[in-house]
Amino acid sequence: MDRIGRIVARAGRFFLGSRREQTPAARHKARVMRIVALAILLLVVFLVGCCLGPYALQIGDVVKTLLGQGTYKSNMVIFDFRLPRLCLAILVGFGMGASGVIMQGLLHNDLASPGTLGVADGSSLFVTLYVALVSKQIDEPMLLPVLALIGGLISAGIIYLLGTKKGKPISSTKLIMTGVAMGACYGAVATFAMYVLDESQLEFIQRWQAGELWGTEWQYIRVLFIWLVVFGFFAVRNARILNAINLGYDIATGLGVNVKLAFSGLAFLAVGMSSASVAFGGNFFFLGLIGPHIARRIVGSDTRYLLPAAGVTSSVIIVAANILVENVEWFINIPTGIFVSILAVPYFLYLLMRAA
Amino acid sequence: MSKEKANNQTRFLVFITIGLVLVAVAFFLTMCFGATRISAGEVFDAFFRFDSSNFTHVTVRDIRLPRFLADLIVGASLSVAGAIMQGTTKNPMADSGIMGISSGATLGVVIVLAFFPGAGRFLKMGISAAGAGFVTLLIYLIAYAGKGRITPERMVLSGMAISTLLSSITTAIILKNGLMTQMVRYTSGSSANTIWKDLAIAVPFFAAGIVTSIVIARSLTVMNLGEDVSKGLGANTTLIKTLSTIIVLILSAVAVIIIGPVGYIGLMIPYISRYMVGTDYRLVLPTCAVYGALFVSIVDLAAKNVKPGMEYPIGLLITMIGVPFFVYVSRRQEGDQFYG
Repeated sequence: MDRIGRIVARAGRFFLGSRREQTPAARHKARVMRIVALAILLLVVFLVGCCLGPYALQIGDVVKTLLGQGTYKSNMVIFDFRLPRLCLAILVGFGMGASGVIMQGLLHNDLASPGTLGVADGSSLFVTLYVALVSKQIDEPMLLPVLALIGGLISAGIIYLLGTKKGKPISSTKLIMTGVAMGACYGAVATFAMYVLDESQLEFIQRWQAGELWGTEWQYIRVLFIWLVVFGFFAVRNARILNAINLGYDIATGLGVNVKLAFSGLAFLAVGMSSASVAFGGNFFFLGLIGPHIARRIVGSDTRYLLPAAGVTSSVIIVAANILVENVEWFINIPTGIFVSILAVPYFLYLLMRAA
Repeated sequence: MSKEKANNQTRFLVFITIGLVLVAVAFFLTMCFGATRISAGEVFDAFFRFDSSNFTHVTVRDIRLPRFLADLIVGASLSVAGAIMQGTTKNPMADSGIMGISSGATLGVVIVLAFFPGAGRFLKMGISAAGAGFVTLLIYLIAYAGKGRITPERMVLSGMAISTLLSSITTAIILKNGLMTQMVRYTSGSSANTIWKDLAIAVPFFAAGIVTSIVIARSLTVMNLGEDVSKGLGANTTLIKTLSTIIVLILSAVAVIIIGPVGYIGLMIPYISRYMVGTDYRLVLPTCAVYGALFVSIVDLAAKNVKPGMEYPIGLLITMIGVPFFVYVSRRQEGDQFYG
């Protein structure tokens, strides 16, 4: 495994080139420092998020409370109101960002993401149908990500079947086109389901589809955390294989990677992470797309660094959007995902225009 | 070449005749079947021996007829707009729903409902047309800025991005102003509530759009050969481009304000029409208009009668027919390789 890694790293250096002539150790250090810088940025945004909102707190009080020395009131504000939402936001960001990195790497296409491939739509359709038709109450928190995972896997399978042709190389654009179209189809099915719903369920689903951080109970957050840690662990362990695939399927095969197996395994991990995020955080359409993009500009395209960097970047974006939603008066009570879209779409269009 | 041309013209005449006959059949079926059955004799009476105190006559004249005409107008508009967009943006997958134009119009409608609740029909239509126009211009800007280097796939993705953005904003306004139930009906696409007043506003624009498109049809065919060729043949490409943008804008807006956002018609019908009559726009555009009208009226007929008393929104039905078609067309496209 280690030897493959070294060969991959060398091949990577050869094919991708380095911006500056640096020793691997120096580059490693520079990238780690950049990830640390991103993490510090996330910490800052997180603390700002703790401070602002209804019942604003001083930064000193926030730190004190987090360290366990808060007053009754500040404890309540932080631990009951702010922290659950912020933790959920950070986790959803991580899940979508990491999932996007894997999908973009697997398909060699910077436009792939849980949103554009329709996987997130599949997950959310499954969960919303369950909420709408089977059970109005979700008692078992573990059930949600499992349902979302089933939905995500089914839609990934459909997209793969429809978007590829036998005997022809995988065309990522075809997959994305199919994903976009199937996303529209799932949306239509979900709208049909809306006809049997009452007003409050209708609002719940609309919010969900726009991306709303709703699963703000500690039991949900715990499930999401464990889920992402497990899937993330395997993703990081296989980052080098993803690097090899990123060089091209043939090169990866030449490097001794079982491409078929690796492709399905990594795709499973990507769908798993996006599904859990969708289950508790709603459908943040573009988050899994722009997070990895921005991160790639910062740390380069080596997956070992890109995975954590993209996770942190996406978290920063969603926490920042959340601060806007909580604090600007006109925006209060609007799904957080809308801000992610407003932020991301111009950037996405720019990407499309530039790369043409 | 000329033999093929003559052949296409014959085919055109045959297909147009078949199409018109089928539209007539759809007309009688639509008048007769629905929430209640109305006999052919009564339909005849409603048209020629109208009695305003007879409820059945009023149903035929003021509910079924405007709705049927609305379906025809929407189908023809969206198909012709789609065909023109596909030619001028060099994108075989262009469609006013897919490219996000409908979402612009929907945003317009929501803005009116939320901020000018007392606004009249005319203002409502104007603002939603402005929304559609904004997106149309954006799409053409993206298409022309790329100078044809933008692949169909990327155009579709930019359309998707634009509609995601606009529908996000729409959702925000809906949630903020509690317009939920009102909007679910509108956003899923239905011609059920069309009244004569809507048609009176829409018809002049519709007619202007269709007539202009047929006038410039020959230039569109020439443009399709490539911009250099058409300049060499003496065509005023800037004028044609501007005119076609305006036509697409008007026709999409007309359709959206009558029925709400409906996608995929502008993709399916032109594709089928080209299969029937070739690539000459003088033949393609009328074929599109007839078969687009036929398609929407049949889907609406089905939507009303699958389960009498329960209406399925035709926008959703059309999406479900359109998505497989879209996937089929996308599979036939040559993939674009831009990465690795």
